Amino acid sequence: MKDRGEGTFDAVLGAAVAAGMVLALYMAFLVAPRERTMGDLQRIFYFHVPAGITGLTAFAFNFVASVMFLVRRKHRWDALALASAEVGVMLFSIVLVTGPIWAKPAWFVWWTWSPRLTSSLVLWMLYVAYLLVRNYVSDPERRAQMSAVFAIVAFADAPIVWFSIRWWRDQHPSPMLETGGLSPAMWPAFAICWAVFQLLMIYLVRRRAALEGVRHDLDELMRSAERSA
Amino acid sequence: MNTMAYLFAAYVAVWVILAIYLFSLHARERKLRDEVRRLRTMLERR
Repeated sequence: MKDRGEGTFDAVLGAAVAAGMVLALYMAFLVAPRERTMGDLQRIFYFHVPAGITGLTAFAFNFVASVMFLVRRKHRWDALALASAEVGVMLFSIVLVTGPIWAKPAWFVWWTWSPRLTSSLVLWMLYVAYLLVRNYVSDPERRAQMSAVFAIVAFADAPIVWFSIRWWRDQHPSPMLETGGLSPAMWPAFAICWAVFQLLMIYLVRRRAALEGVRHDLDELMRSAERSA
Repeated sequence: MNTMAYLFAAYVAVWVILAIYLFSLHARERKLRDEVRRLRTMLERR
């Protein structure tokens, strides 16, 4: 299935992600200072924001892989597109669950239809639809082609999610990363959490894409076995 | 609920979502391995 070098790399990457997660928790809970107005509730930020940024990165991978599939017609691009969409959906699920848990004590409501929240939910739904649609097309070539086109269209929502709090008035906190709103003492914890989420995404995408590659080879084998029967 | 309870709930949610995904990935890998074994047996019988 996998060659020995790749297996070792994935094992090392997996161990680095596990150790990184422990470090991220340590930084978020014990090193980062207590925020003045929100108190300890603000510590949700250290996993919520990196999950969001990393989710958008995964969707960007999906976009690039989909374009590459349409250009090159190689199955490995479709496998990478599928893997990154699936991991992106998982990461955005974290965002959409932890966001309301933070919002309830901060805004006194679980959810509000603000531009950032609405566009994020739409983005998540688009990629869930992408994953579901793939199950309804049996021909692998047609499935890959249709999914690539769908993915390119779906990605149009990603910049809207990113820029929504810059373009429109929104209840969601302003973009503190670029505007200097994040205290210098909080930066190391945020940077480590962000780096660990990026590593986690790479690890999961590699595993999922490898799984899809093997499934594709197996389907080909099954078909040729049936033909020769 | 105090703020610590919300903080706890958020971090539990992160780990639950991650665990569900890892479990589903592992289950799919196991299913695929079984399919490979089945195919190998089928080919050996011929």
